[in-house]
This record gives sequence, structure tokens and C-alpha cells, in this order.
Amino acid sequence: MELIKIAWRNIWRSKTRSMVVILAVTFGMLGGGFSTAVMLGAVDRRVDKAINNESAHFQVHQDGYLENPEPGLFMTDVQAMINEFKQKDFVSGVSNRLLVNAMMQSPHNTSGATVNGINPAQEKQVSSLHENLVEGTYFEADKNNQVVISKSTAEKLKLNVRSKMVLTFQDKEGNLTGGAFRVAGIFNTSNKAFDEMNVFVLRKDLESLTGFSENQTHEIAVLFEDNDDLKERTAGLKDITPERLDARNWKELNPELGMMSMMTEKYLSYLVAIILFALAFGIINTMLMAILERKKELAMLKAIGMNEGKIRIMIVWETLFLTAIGSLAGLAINQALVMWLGKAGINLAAFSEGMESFGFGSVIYPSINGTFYLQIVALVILTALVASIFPIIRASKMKPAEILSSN
Amino acid sequence: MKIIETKNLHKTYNSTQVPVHAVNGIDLSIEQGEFTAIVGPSGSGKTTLLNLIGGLDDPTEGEIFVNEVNIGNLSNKEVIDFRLKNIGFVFQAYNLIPVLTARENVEFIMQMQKRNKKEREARAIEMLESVGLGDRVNSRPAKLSGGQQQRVAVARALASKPKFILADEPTANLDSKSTENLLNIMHELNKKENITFIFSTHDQRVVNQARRIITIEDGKIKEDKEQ
Repeated sequence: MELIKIAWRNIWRSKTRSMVVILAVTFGMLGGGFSTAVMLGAVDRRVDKAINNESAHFQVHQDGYLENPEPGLFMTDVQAMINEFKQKDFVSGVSNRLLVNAMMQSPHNTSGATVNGINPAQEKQVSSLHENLVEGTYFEADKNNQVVISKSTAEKLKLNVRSKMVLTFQDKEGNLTGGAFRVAGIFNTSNKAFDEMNVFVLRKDLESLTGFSENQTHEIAVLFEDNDDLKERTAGLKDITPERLDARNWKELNPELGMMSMMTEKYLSYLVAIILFALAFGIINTMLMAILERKKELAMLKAIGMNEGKIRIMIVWETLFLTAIGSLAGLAINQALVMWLGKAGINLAAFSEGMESFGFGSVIYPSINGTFYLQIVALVILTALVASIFPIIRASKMKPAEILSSN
Repeated sequence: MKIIETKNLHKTYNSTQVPVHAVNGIDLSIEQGEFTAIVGPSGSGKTTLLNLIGGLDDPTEGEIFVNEVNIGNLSNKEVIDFRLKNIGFVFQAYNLIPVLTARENVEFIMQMQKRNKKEREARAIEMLESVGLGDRVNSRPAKLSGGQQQRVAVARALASKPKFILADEPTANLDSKSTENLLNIMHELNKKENITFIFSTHDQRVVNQARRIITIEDGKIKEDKEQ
């Protein structure tokens, strides 16, 4: 206890010198922590959007459909499986989609897209697309051949709400067919690629044009209550899914997203580790100066019977205090910033086009998790231990007889 | 009772091209309760002899017995522990821990000896009172005069209940009043509690108080007399 007290008081012997190091660590940790929060916030939001607007948590297809999305690769008699999915307490919604690849035509332009034949009531349970409407409605009751398109498609094809467009696609038998649709609503998610490649129509309209029955489907999307326990929940649903079907969770459907999430966390841990490693040199320098200034005192301690182990512990405590004070201050400021900007958001509207082309929203909500802080605590302790090695070596080499005899 | 004995003690420094024989064949024995001054000109080997006796330096040749223990046979770790339990040190530059109060400085050595808190606190105050600093127990060294700091150093040296105290030029930085005060305290402790004091000194006032004076020149004992 006395050693800790001495170590604590020692770091305040040269207040200016200690404060310089503490401030360097504070700003280093703030920089590392805030970068982490911004990047994690952006990635989390991207993942969140991907799940809520695009893939949901879990999908089932006919085997081979994802590799070759032919209209003929559809599933039949899946209602029993869907009912079982719905009985799971973590499932918040299931949607049954009919998908066809189509050519979109307007009087001004043409473009390719996937037509999603959906039941709006079901779809609202698995997708937030209806919340992303910027114009019009998410299908009107009692009207046929309505289509919901994205803002980028609308701009490309020069369409507005209530404009007409023609969708041409293959029917169930592989024959070319199509129909005229009227734009009911225009949506805008933060993922430009998704927006350009997807349009939504009523499933019953698509069934009548393609010849698919109510009992036939291309995609079943399942949304969970939250993102927890993905592996266990996926395994539970896969057990229910017949073997002839291909069942995957969002990480398996979008491996690049899963990889991005994991890589970001790893990259950020390395970033913080590198910042601390760089700061360690400043800490070493400060500690070496402190040790050289106090060499007579250390020699005296050795002379009166303080063993090397205790001297080492005292130096480690001093280093730990310097590192920990700066880290705690940096992380506290960081946490305050994250709490504020996590609600207010950082608006990067000026770069929205570039960010949306990568699937990121233009408003970033920084976020950070407890694991990050635990990693930081471990890294801070490691840094302090590493930074104390050189001062300890220097102190160990001191010979009390020589130092106490010198002036 | 013999407390220290050196046999054919040598210490040679080879840091320059010409070897320096700082201690050159010293045979010495010191009895319990002595108040001994080691005197001699600068560079005569006084401090080196004290460092050897205190186990702070290793002899090039010869043996040192403290309480019949040959400290040359002890490992580094054992020597440190031996110093902690048997030897009190008083240095010319006081060498107190500046971030601790007078009481904490005195207590610190007892904490290293793993004595309990109650005993440490009581003895620290007792030792500080014995050197006339009962009213300054909570002062840090920077708030004390040189003489007061050296008295704290003496209290610290005594607190560990050592077999003897080695004091290297303890009065060199003190004015005459502080010197007299300090010497009186040490003399009293020597008489009352039979504590052995060994000084290296240039100071005639210390020499006048000593009962035995060992004069060293060129690393050898030139004269060893009682007064």
C-alpha cells in the first residue's frame, strides 16, 4: 500500500512533465476511441440497414437459386415450415417473396432490376422499406399493378409518383411476359446498389403475370427481434428447414458485410494498440527522466534494504498511473462525445453520394461497446508494463555505493 | 561482544589504467556499543570501508563478519535482507523520500520489515520524539531544515532496530548548532541504548565526541586510538 502511495505522489513531483504525458495519452485515446466509435457506428448502421431493408436475418431459397436465380428454381409447400418459424419467440416476422429479373422501361430510359413480389402486410414485419419512402405510398388498397421504386431508379427513368412504366420478365415457363405498372411510391435507402437493383410489386399481380401459384415462392425472409445469438438462432431455424432447401443467415448471405464488421473491429483494436505503442515511447522517456532524477533516492532505498522486486513494483505503479489517468480521461471524453453524437449524429451530407455508393448512410451515429473498453483496459495495462521495462532496467543497474558516494 | 570484524580487507578500483587501492588490507574489529569515528583525508578510503562493512560494495579480497556472519557468502538478495535487519544508514545528503512525511519516512523501513501498522506508527513517533521532532511528524522533508532532516534520517536508521548504524559524513551539510544537536542525540542513544555508531567524518566536532578514532590513509589504518 505504501508503495502505491509513494508511486502516486511521485508522479505529481513534476506536475508539468506528468501532465504533458497524461495529456498526450488523453488525446491519443480520444483520437483512437472516437475513430473507433465513428467507424463502428458506420458499420453497425450499414449492417442494421442491410438486415432491416435488404436481407432480414435469415433467408430460405430453393437449392441453387442464389447461385443461378432462374424463375424455375422456386420452393413449394413451405407453409408448414413458415408456421414453425413463426412459433419461435425470437422471430418477429416472415415474408414470402416471389422474385423475377426484369427489364424496366419508361418513355425515357431502360434499366434492369429484380422485381420483388410481396405481400405488404407481411413485408412490413421483416423490412423497414416502407419507412424509407420519400414520395407516394407503400401500395394503395384495391389497386392493381402498382410498383414501388427507388429514388435513383426514378431519376434514371425520369419517373414520378403515378407515372407509368413497363416491366418485362420471364414467366414460370420461361416465356417472355410483362405488364404496365403505375408508380405508387418512391423509396430511398442509404444503399445505392440495392436501390438501383430492386423494385417492389404486389405478389398477387406478379403471380397473375408469371403463372406462379400462392403456394410457390422464391424467397422466405425471416427477421429476428434483435441481433443477438445469431449462430444459435440460425441453427434452430436450419433444423426446421428441409434439407432440399438452402437456408442462410445474413452473414452467410452477405459475407462481405460479416467480414467488414469483423475486420473493422480487428483493425480498430490494432489502431488503438499502435496509438498506445507510440505513446509508450513518451511514457518511457518521462519515466527514464524521473528515474535519473531520483537516482540518489533509489540508491538510498536499495541501501536501506528495499529489494529489487519492490523497486520494480513502484516503477510499474508510476507508469500505470501515468497511462491510466490519461486513458481514463481520454475514454471519458470519448464516451461523452459518443453519447451526444450517438443521438445527434454526424451529418456528412456533403459526401452522401460517395458514402451511399458503398452502402453507408450520410449520417453516422458513433457507437462503442463494452468489449472495446475491456480491450482498452487490457492494452493500457500491457502498455504500462512494456513502458516500465526500460526504467526498471535502468534502476536495476544502479549501484548504491557508487551513487551515494558521488556528489 | 564483537559486532564487526574485517580480515585483510581489500578494495581495488580498475576503472582507470592505474588500479586504485581504496582499501588496502584493513584488519579491524568493532565491539557492541562503540562510538567510533573513521577519519582521514579525502580519498583515503573512509567511505569505501563503510560501504564494504554495510554490504553496499563487494571486497576485492578479504572477509567481513557482521555478528559472526560472513557477508561475502551471502547472495545479493540475502545481503539486501541482511542490511534491512541489521544495519542502519545515515547519509551525508539525508536522502529522505521527499513525497513522504517525517513519520512516513520512518515508518517505511519498518513496513519493509513487515511489521504491523500499529507497531510501526507507535515506534515512528517514539523515534521522532527521541530525536526532538515530536512536533514535526507530519512535515514533509522540504518543510524541514537540514539538521531536522538529518535527525529524521537518524530516527529512520534507529527505527529498524539495527545492530549498528553507519553514518557517512552525517554533519557535512549541517551548521554548527544542528551538528551539536545531532551529535548530542546520537551520543545519548549510544549511552542509553548501547547502540553502536560508526562515522566516517572530516568534522572535528564529531571526532571530539568519538570514544575511538581510526585514522585511515591510502586505504590503510594509520592509527587506531581510544580517547
